Amino acid sequence: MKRSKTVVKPGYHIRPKYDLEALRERRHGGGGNKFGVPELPLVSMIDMFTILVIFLLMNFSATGEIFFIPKELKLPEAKHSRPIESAPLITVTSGQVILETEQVGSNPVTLTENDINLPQLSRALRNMKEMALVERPDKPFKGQINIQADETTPLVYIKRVMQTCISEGWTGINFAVRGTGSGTETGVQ
Amino acid sequence: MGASGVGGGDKRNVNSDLNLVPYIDLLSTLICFLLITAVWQQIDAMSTTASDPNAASAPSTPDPNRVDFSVSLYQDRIEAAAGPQKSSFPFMGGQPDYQSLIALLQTWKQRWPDRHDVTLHSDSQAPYKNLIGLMDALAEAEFSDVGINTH
Repeated sequence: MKRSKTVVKPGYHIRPKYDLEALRERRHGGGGNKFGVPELPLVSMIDMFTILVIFLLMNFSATGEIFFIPKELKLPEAKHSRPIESAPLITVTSGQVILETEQVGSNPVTLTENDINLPQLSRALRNMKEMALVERPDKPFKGQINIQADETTPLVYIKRVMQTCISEGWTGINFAVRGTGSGTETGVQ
Repeated sequence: MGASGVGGGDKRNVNSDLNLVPYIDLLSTLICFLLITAVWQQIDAMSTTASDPNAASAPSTPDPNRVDFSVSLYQDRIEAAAGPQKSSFPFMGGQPDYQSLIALLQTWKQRWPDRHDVTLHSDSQAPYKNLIGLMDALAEAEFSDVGINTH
């Protein structure tokens, strides 16, 4: 009778003298887990993950506002503020006036009440208003705009930005502040 | 992590491990998303309204009995006026005395409970935080219609 030969996978035979068969089996997934590779304690990790997710979900804001606040700019605090709404943002820093991300004016060191002209800001606001009217012809133009400035900024710099906004029809002016109160609606309109 | 299934005719272990890998994947993805979109600084707003000078408004006759409320911010004091009656609140230690102002505003509110409008005047060199503080004080006294004079 002819014996059939089957090809088998060669076993572990490099140094059979030192082979610890039981340990090798455990390392490759076989056997129990009395010793060898320890299991990762997943339960505590999942607990931590769950707590993190709950904490982050509680702080999650779905309103979608993304404000870029320069480092040198510290917003003033207010107790009776209300949540800010999405609108074009004007940033007044010590040296410049920025609409969204574009510089639209500069703030000289000395400024008098007569230096109210911000022609670039006027032009940009006019363009934005025209675009808003073209995009939504059926809705009335609200003219909401957000202004953020450092708390130590002299009011003359804020006033001339406000005057420019009002003259271009952006009459709903909102000052960005750091809310320290309960976050309830103040009714300031 | 795999489930040791139930089956076969023999007496086998019926305990099964929950497959935690997709759960951990979901939690990791959620944590990454929430961390990226987290808002760490609470930004609120104080609002004011201004009338559009270009808008046509109907001429109205002023009420002679109407009392105009105004609050003026200077570099060293706050002045509040209800018609001809004026009160001045000097800064205390370099800071505006908001508490005294709020007390006065509350007396205005008791006397004219239907009024919510105040005009706010400010010195051009006064710091911006004092304007916000003043608006905050007006909001605390329930004066919700704050107009800022920009001239």
